[in-house]
Parts: sequence; C-alpha cells; structure tokens
Amino acid sequence: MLDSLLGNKTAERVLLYLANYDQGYAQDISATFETTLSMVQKQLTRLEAGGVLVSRLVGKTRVFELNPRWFFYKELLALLQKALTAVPEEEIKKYYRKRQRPRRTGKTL
Amino acid sequence: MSQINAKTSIEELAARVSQALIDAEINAVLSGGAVVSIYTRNDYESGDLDFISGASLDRIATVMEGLGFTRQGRSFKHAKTPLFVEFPAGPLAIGDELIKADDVGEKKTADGSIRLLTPTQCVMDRLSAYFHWKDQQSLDQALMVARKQKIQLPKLKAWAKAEGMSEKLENFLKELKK
Repeated sequence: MLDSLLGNKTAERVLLYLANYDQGYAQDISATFETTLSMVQKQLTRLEAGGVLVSRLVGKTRVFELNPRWFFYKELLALLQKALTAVPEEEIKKYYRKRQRPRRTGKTL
Repeated sequence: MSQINAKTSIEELAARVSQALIDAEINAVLSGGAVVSIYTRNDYESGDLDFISGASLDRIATVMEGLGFTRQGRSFKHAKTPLFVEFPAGPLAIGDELIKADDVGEKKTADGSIRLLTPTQCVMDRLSAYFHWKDQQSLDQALMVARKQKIQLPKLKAWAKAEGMSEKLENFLKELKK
C-alpha cells in the first residue's frame, strides 16, 4: 500500500504498527508480522536516524514510537491512519488487534 | 586558539565547530541541551552538541575531520574530548513551527561565532519535550533558561496555542513566577 512510497514493506509495517499501537519494540513487531528481526531492526534504526521515530530504553528493551516532535509528524500520522482504514479486515484482526489491556501476573491464559 | 582538549567547554567547542561550518559556508544551527548549557552557563551540563543542518553529511564530515573528529554515522567523536557532536536529521523546527535560517541567534565568542536557537526558541524546544513526554527534566531546563535569559512570552504563548498546548504552558508560567 505505502511500500512504494516508503521504500519497502517492512518500513510500512513498522510505521503502521506504531501508528496503531502507539509504541513497539523490534522483537514484538517482527513476531507480529512473522518477519525477520534484523529487517525490522534495520528499519527502526533507519527511521530513528531520520528523526521519524524516537526510542527509549525500558529495562533492557528499546521501545520505539513515532516522533511527535518531527516536523511532518501530524501529516505522517494522518497518512498512516488513513492507510490503516484501507487494510483488509482479516489483516486488521491478525496484526492490529492484539490485546493491549493489562493481564494480571500469573493469570492463566 | 587552543587545541580541542579535555578542558574545552561546551561553549568553546560549539564555537569551534560552528565557526568552521560558517567558514565552509555550511548552514548549521546548534539546538538541544547544548544550547541550554550555554544560556545557563552550565547550570545544566550537556554531553553532546546537536547541530541541525540541511547540508550533506559528507560535506559536514570534511569540516569535522579538519577539526580532528572522526565520523560514526551522524555522530562525530574527538579523541581529546568526551563531548561529541551530532547532526540529527532536519528540518530545524519546533513542533509545527519551522525555524528559518535567518531567525536563529548568534553568539560571538573568542573561539568564533555560534549559530544557535534564540533563548525563546530554546525554551520552546525544551517545552516541546515536556509537552509530549511529560519530561520534567525538560521543564526544568526551560525554566533555567527563562530565568537567566530574556524570553519573548507573547511569542511563546502564541506557539503553545498553535500546538494546542496552552494549558500545559500554564504549568511552566506558574513555575516561572515562583
């Protein structure tokens, strides 16, 4: 959908993931899309270097989000949100509706 | 002018780099925590210098290597100082407000001229981080600059309003009055 604009499919997935979930880390993003960790890490690094993303360490995990201070942030977010509305329903369910609410420690799945 | 060494202050290093870039006709503006250090005379000590420039990193690298720095991606390190210099991707903007090349400040020092955010822009830059991430450290830095430098409150208020952050600006203004 946006891969021709963004250069590749992984970049599109990373950005759509962050627009949808607000934040994410490489392992989780790669597991969600069943893609290689290194490809996701490469895109996260590239987008962060360009100012598109920012990250912070939470424990030992580097968590990324869209950079709200980036000059094109609002426009990018609007584009990604529009793109999400065009994602097929089955993909929405599979990739963009992961449980976000808390789950008590030790609770049986 | 002395060589860059472990005792080189952040202002001295900023001047050396900024002047070298000016001499090479490269437009670059110091932003971030280093500007806070300079305006507060090191009440806040930054460990790096962020210059925003539209020039290619290859052109910048030529200048930086002439000063004895070595490149690591967008960062430049020098063997004699723990301070490092970065060139984050532009454009130079604070939120939705694009900062034009002619609208920045200039500080003349014995080591050269520093092109940097004005005190008001510096406060806006710190407040932007406070607004978006509730970063208390950024609020503290904005207050430090506002207490040591003259800032344009009407401009600050207009910017915060345009960003939809007028309410959060009130926290800053209340603290400033204390």
